[in-house]
Amino acid sequence: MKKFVKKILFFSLPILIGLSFIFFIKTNREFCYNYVKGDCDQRGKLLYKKMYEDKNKVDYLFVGSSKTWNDINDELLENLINIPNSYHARLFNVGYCRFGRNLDYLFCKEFLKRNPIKKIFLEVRADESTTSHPMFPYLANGKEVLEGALALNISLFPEIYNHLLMNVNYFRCKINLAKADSNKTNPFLHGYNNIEKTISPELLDKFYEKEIKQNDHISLTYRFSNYYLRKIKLLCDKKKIELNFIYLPSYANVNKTPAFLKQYEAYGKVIIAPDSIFTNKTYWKDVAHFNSFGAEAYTKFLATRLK
Amino acid sequence: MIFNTIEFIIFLLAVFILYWRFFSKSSTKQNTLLLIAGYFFYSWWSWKFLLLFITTSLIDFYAAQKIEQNEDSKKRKLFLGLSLSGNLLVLGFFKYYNFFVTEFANLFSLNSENFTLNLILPLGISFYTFQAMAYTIDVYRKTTKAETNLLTYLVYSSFFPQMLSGPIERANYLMPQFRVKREFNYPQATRGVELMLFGYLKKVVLADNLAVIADRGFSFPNNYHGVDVVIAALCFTFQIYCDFSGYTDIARGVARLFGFELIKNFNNPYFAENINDFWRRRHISLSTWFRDYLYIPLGGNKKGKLRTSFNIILVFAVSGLWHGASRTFLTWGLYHGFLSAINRLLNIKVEFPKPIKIFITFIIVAFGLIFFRSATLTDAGIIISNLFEFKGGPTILQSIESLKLFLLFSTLFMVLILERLNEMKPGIFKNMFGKKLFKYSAYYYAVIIIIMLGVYDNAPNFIYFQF
Repeated sequence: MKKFVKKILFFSLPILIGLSFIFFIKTNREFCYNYVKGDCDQRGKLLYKKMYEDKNKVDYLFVGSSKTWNDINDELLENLINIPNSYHARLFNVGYCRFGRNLDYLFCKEFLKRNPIKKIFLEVRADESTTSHPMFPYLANGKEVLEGALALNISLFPEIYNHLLMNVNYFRCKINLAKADSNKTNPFLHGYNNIEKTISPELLDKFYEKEIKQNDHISLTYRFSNYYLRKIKLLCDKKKIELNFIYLPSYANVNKTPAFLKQYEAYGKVIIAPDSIFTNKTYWKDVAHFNSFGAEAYTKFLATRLK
Repeated sequence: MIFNTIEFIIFLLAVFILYWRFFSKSSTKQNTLLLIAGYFFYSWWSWKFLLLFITTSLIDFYAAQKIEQNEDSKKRKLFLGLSLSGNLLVLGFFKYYNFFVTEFANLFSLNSENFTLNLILPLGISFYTFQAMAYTIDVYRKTTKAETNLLTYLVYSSFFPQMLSGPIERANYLMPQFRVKREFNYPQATRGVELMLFGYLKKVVLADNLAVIADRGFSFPNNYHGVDVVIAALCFTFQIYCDFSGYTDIARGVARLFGFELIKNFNNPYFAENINDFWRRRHISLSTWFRDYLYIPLGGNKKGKLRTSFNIILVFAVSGLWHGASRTFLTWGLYHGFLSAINRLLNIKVEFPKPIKIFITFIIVAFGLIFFRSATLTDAGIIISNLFEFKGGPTILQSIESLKLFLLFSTLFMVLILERLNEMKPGIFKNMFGKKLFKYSAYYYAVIIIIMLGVYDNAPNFIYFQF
């Protein structure tokens, strides 16, 4: 048995060394953004264009999940806060479906490479997500994926596997064993997702009743998110960028304030909109996202704060 | 859990270490771990169906005991009937209910949607029910002893390397292996890893890449003609072989890691010299099952030529339906049934050179697989009619890198030749692999090809898992 295990380990060693080399190879950014598995509406491809190819540089960045994507009309906000004949600040909504602070950090870092960002607005919700973003292993480099161990990333092993798979595919493309996906999308000026449909009031009521009962079930695990929030804060400090938090709860804002409000306040300003916006039943596409009317109302509120 | 996933590799490593490190003191401990591993392996897909699986296993265990304990033939038949009907009821309900109801409704121009149910086919049902039925029939025929130890029977029926897609093992061969304590055997374990490597090469490199080409041809039958259809049909012919024999190699390799030997399920079927020879070489455990438990009880070849032909056609029709409840599989079964019956009835003995005979048999088999792979009989009809329409050069291979195609087909060629050599000169591998340089070059070549050409994104399932 020992001899067998030894032989297998000895045989596997060169393979593991080869795979480690592939794991750490520097991949082309465009390849990664085109490759992401489980992408929403090809947003990875679009974001790559915005980050690396669009000539319109971004000043204010809104980073978060699909809530940010649906709730903040960056085009409208840009028009509302800019004054004619003065510097025109450009805004961009990087909202990307699903949660994970590590991806927020990665987006902030990536955008900063080519954009003179002055302010970052980070989405916060009633609770913090405790898990890694599923897109993270595709967009991060090998070192960043392994760094998840320090943040106690519970998805570390699947992420190592997914990152390795992506890099193997990249390597295959390099030696002409496969073709990379082509990116035929056009860069876009703003990132807001405009949806006009409205959820039925009955469904909102049902959700509210359920939420009231579950109000005390707030997660206490903050370590993972805090690790990346701290990194975002350090990044902002280093580049002298103002960090703000925008609170985007679900319908009716049952919790009133985010569970980790104090921690956010230690890093930056927290913007909390009046409840009237969150309780208006005509403003919701579903229980968690605004429709275009809700987004407009919320954006107008944000404009008053940003001015 | 599927063999070509990272979850399975982790599971296998864990069970292997536990088995030889902590559970190796007695056969009871070893079997207990294998039973837990088997149930965990199955419940990874669905724990609800695991309960169904355990229930049928328990029925079979007790039915076999009762058959053996009773001398009264009526009672023996009663318990055999209980076991067989339990298995056939489960198989019939989940696999065939919707098919027969739809066919019946169509016959009377009724709306079949009113009668069909939204059923999920339990994974591996055709395999484990057939293995269970073989056991109780053998006990009834007194060719095997009923197992008195429940643990031994349960682990026999749920041995994870083969429970989902065979080989369909006979109790006489596999059960005794569970009764004795397994000792770690270095050459056996090494051969197991070699087989697994070979199996993975066939599955993730050959079958899954060939599937990309075959799927194009069969998913869009109207788009391809002439050479393209030929390429698609040939790719599927090799895909299904590499997929299923790859699975069997992995299963046999995994079993060896735990000290078990499973039967060989394939013996170079594409080198068969006629259709009967083909069925002696392909899915051997199923072919022999049908021979022993259906063909021979029907009378086999002892009741005249016409009855023999009828028996052959019937067995192949049932074999077609065993693969799947649809007209395409039934047609595929009947196609082979008629060919086999004609072959036997006319006793054709044309003395072609061997390579010509092999080539003709291969073409006949590849043609038949068009029915097997097509979604409907209409699609199969389109594909067959397009086969004879030549419209320019091949387009089906477009957008696949030439280096990849070269490596893919050269590896396929190598695999087929190596397997054939092993059949013609048994022991050739022993001589070849005795040389370290050759051995390790071959292993590393296989690993590199598996890494660089293997399909891992949305890895396709094994074809036979659906049966």
